[in-house]
Amino acid sequence: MSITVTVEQNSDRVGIRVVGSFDFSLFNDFRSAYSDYLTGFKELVVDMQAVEYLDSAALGMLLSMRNSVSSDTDIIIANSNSFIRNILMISRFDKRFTIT
Amino acid sequence: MKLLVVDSEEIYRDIISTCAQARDLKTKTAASMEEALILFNDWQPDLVSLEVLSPSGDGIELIKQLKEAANDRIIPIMVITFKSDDATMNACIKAGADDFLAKPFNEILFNTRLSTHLRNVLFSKESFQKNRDLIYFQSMIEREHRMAHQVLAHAMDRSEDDDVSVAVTRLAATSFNGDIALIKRRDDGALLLFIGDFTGHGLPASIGALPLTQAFFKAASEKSSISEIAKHFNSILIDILPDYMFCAAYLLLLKPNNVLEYWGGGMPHAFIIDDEIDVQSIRSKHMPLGILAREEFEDEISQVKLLPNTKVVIASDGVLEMCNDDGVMLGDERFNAMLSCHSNKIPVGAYQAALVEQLIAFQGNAVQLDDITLLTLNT
Repeated sequence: MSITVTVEQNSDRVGIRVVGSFDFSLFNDFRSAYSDYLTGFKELVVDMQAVEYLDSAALGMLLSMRNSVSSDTDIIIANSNSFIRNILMISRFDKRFTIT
Repeated sequence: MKLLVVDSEEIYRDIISTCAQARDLKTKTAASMEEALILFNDWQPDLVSLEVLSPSGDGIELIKQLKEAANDRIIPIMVITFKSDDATMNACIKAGADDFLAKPFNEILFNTRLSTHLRNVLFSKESFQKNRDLIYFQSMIEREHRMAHQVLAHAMDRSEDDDVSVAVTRLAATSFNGDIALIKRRDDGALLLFIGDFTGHGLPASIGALPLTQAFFKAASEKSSISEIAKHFNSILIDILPDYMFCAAYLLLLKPNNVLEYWGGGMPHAFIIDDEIDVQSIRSKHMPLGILAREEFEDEISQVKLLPNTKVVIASDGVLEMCNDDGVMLGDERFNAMLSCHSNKIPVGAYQAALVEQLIAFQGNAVQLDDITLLTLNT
């Protein structure tokens, strides 16, 4: 599975883990992954630890998520490698997401 | 599903047909080898049952002919024969038969084997159909790419790619480069430039290009400021693009006094190569166009005073991320080295050509994964 969703017990935090190449082929799966958690959660963490490659389509998918998910939910993009972090920073994604 | 029953004996033609019909198969029969071949070609059965013993010809030869007529379609041939010795079986299978049953006719055995063959036929028909669909959609996409290419080429027609101070190189990853490069010399002598890299490839990218291009040339003639243009472009794009699409871009204005004003969002850093071959950079400070709402949009521009005979090189992310035969990315350091390789005093066309040559040499035989747009400016 390229995408795994974990809802931490007794918490208001959801984790979405993406594996491999984060690109257009994950469009539908990624959307399905967060569609159940649009409201009521404090944090949504996208774990990029196992992501090797990210393209502009993935950036678009993250923006879509930000638009669909409640503005009360903080979206955290976690564990990016330096290449991915660079891509995120060039597009100033730190303005819409918390990048760790 | 259609079964062709080939047997010189009427009683067997009847038995096999009846059995098949009970399985809801349509049947036709052939008593001779010629009849079999004619019916096979005209009626196009999905399966064949065949007795190799025949007064009218060579059954093994018929198997070969039927297989040839089938081409690469899967049409199982079940040999049902009195001549059930091993040598005959080997010959039949070698000739292309898919099954071998001995007479007297065993209905249960026939039915069991028929099930397997029917499953194969169904599967191969599905695959064949899927293949045809794939080919259809592939050619549709190719057509759309050509359409997008035409739309984009027309939109960029007014771009002054041959201005003395500029050299532009665009290399497409697939059949179509979705990046835009627009250049216009204003009547006050300033040079206005726009380099845009839309999300994704193909037709979706060219949709955003049209209104931006029109706005660009209007802005050039009206001598609008870079901030105004950036704001306007952003407004156009947030209205027409879906939320997962945007445009990384540089908007630049090179004034006659060599002051360079620019707005950058989402593009990798650009390079300033001047007299001391000191490669400094121009950086994107903003989010790409088409993301922030009008009231959130940030239009702050940056400014840099350039010396005469300075080159400015702007590359889309496809350049720095270009891979060589070993899968290694070009990266900053290597690109910097390429930029310093030739004197920045040579004409911009020559400098660009030398740079492109180095890039192509680096790429080798590797597949180009992203569109590449390279623009060099000269003060």
